[in-house]
Amino acid sequence: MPFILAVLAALAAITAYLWLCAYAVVHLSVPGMLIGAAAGVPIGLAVALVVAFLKLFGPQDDYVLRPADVAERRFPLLRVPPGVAPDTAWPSYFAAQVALDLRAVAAQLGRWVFTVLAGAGKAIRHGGWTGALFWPLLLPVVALLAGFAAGAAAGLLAIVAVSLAVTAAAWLAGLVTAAALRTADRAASVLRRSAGNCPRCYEVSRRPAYQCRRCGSLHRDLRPGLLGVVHRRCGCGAQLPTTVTRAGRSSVLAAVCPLCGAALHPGAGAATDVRVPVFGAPSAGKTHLVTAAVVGLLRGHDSVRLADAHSKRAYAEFTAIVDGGGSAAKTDAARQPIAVTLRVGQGRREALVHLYDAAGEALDDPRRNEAFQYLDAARTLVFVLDPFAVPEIRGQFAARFADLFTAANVSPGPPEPSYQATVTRLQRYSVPTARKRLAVVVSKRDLLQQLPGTSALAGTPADIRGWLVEQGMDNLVTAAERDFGAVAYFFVSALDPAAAAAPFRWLLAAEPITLPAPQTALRAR
Amino acid sequence: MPPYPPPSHRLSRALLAVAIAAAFGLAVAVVLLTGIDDALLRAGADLTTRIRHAWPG
Repeated sequence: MPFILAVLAALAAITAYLWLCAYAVVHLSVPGMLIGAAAGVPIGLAVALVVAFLKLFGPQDDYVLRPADVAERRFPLLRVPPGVAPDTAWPSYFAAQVALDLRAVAAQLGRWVFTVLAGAGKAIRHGGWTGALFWPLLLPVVALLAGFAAGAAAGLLAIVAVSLAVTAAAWLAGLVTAAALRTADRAASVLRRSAGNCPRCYEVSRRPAYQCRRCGSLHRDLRPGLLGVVHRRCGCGAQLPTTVTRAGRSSVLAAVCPLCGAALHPGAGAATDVRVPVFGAPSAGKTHLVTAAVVGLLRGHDSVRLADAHSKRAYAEFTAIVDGGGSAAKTDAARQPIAVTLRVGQGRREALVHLYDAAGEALDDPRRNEAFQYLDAARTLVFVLDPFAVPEIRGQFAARFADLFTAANVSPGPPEPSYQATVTRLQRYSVPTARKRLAVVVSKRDLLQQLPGTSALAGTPADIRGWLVEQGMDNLVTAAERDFGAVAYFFVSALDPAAAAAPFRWLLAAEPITLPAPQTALRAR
Repeated sequence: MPPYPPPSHRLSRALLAVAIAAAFGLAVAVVLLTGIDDALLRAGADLTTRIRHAWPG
């Protein structure tokens, strides 16, 4: 009987407990859960917002794509040809870092939510069985936590959605701006005929590489792109321009050859670049022509300056020769020619004019002249013709005027093979000579005029051409006018710098360069 | 190597933060102005009332 009473009492107690629980669920838990969930969601949203602000405005070093990572090819969006080291620069924020920042926000928010839920779970477990008996009272707390977690997740989703929208807008604006800047930069380059011209390997680059003067790191592709649209930030923190036009005027960047790394002239890549190779037979008078022409172009003209130390040293020698009446040393055929470079004009209208004077022996040798890549990239060329080497003149006067021929240091062979050697080399390399201009310069005027019957050469360009034809150079004249787009004839003396500069003025007249003196073209086909 | 973030990233991050804040603000304004919050509160109150009425006691 007592056992039955005990069972009945227990059943009554359990029934009363369940009834109380049900009553509590209906009157306390359900409203409490609704209130808890309603409070938890905005709290979660607010926490997500706070975490996003902390990460976006505060330090965030967990997930960062640094310039060193870019250099180590950890930025897959950046396409760099194999074998070329990527530039060491900060990627644009919306190109990579925005995703990493979102990852940092998600990780931080996850940590916070987990901490709150784990803390709540620990507190509930701490209550033990006594606490478990009051489970209906815990339901609002659980709802609050669930609302908090759901709010945080919704907040994160909203942050990701807004970031995606802003990133898409930034990409669109960046693509349009980059395309516009690239087009403008390329157009300026085409109009100015600018390029980077390497004095060491003769590489002519449309876009030179640039070295940061602050840290020395190399930027091979400075164009607007993933590493910066309007500006880029070097790994050292220096702000760099993203177009060749602006890089040419930057004090932070130094242009270097993308092929061999040699330093280019300041402004290279942005300034008009003109290469003028001078070719002809050995002892034709090429060096004397360049000597006198450089002196003629520089003297009395402030807007024409020497561009580098080599050119300054060469000019000092040139003035000594011109003013002292001496002879230039024979060009060393074993050495690669280094250009004498003139800087013409100022600011945006600046130009670099490179005059190349290679030894005739090297130019005539097909195995050696193939290294003269500057010939390929030249739009303008000068062919120097020694009139004393013309077979007709040599046969007619060499015996009678032996002293004069000795003083003229006559070229050993006739002019035509030298012309053919260089032009054949150009054509072998598929260089479109028909688009180039050629100045044919008959040299040693002061000496030639001492021969009888040469007075016509002091006249018009037509006379010079006619005289060449009369002297049996008709094949050369025909070949030159067939091979080149424009040909002009000049008759110069190294003793007259102003006249020696005339062929170069004619050649440069077709370039976007403003020379201080008027051109003196004699004849253009 | 200078610390993160570089100045251009600071500007972009600020822009993004402003956009996020504006979106949240806009969402709150929409909820308040359209009365969604009142509707949710009413729905909650109705639910509790219905459950209470269904309780036999």
